[in-house]
Amino acid sequence: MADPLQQVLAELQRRGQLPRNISTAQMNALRRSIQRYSDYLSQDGIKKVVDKLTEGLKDAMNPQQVAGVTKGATEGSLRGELSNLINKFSTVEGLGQAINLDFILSTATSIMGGAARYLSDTTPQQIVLYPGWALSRMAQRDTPRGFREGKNGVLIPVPDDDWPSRWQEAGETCGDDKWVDWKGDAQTGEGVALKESAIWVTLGNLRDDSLGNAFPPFAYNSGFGVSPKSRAECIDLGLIDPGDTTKAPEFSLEKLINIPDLKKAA
Amino acid sequence: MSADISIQVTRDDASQAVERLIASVSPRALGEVIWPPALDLTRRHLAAYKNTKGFPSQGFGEQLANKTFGTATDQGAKLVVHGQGARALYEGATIKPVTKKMLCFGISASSYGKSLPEMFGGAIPPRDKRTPADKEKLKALRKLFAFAPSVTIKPHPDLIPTDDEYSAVAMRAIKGAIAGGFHA
Repeated sequence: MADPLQQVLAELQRRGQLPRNISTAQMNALRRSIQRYSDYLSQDGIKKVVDKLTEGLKDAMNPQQVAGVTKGATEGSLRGELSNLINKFSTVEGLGQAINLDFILSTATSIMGGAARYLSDTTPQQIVLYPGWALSRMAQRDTPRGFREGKNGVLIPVPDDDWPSRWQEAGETCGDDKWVDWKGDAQTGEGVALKESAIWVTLGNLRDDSLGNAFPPFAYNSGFGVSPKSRAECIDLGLIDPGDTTKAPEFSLEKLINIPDLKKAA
Repeated sequence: MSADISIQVTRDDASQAVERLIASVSPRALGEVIWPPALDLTRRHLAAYKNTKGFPSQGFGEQLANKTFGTATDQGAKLVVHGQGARALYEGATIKPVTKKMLCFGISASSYGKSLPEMFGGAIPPRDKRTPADKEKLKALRKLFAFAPSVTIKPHPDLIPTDDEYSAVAMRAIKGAIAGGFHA
């Protein structure tokens, strides 16, 4: 019997949601990458439940003396805590909340969608027609990167954390010059680079909240995405000369999707 | 007097060039040019979609944008919005319960997008096992939820961009491709 994941990938190809021109070996590599990622997600969910239980037990076994007062769980308080926890787990909703299931699923869905579009965007035809990507805001956020929420919902700037700052830092450390400076402000502007530039990999690995992928979302809960930049636009920006050809970015299908540390943002 | 003219083709540079030119303007080749900006337009439009009641956003539009893909086909370009509920919202639909008698849905900002058990804090006990506190809680929650044997959703053609917007994007994409040296 055929592997179910293989069948899903074949169906996605049939529907046009994955490029058709990838070989069987590449398809197998992609399947292994997705399998590895989904295994991780299920194991991480179970681990969080166990962690919550063991944290309580550790606390009870190791009471701390703080300013003459014993701090930490007692048998009685631990019984209460664990009862509450078990009550939460007795419903699907409670378990979902406890392991932050909504967050894990929405992040995982965004990553899988981003990976599929990355593959479609990097076919030989697309590299010729649209050699570049522009990073810009796609969805609004109440607290955009570059800000934190203060009292009464007031937004307080966090210097160097917004996307133009990250763009600049990624460009300076990526080791190539196939990118141009951010144009416009942090919320409505854009950063453009060739698809083959290492800036995309760097952007996905820049900070603690990065997800480790060369495609959006580059960080947890990011509302930024990429748009295609045509050959004519890339020539206008000085990224390529009229006679130049560009390459597809180098990546391994087997490692297309990074295993993120979902605990970072949980 | 008449003249016999005979033409013998010894070298044909034209046919191949014409074939290349025809191939370059095939629906699939044009589809390759059009789908990326059309996809971008659709995803941005979906991501900006707001629910009509003005309740706190559950990110439905953005979820649809994340599940939207594009490709070239023999007929041109194809975009797929692969999100649950997208077709019902776009075309309109009547939703009926399958395993229960009634549908239950949030009708206030605090209950919108949530289930009754979620707001209750767990599974709702059967009638004969409800404590007075459970009953009080449920009474309060009933003001936040509506029950109905079916719900009709009216069509929302504005869920995706208009044909004019797609035409404008397609024309711009083709002009851009020509400017970038797209030829046979």
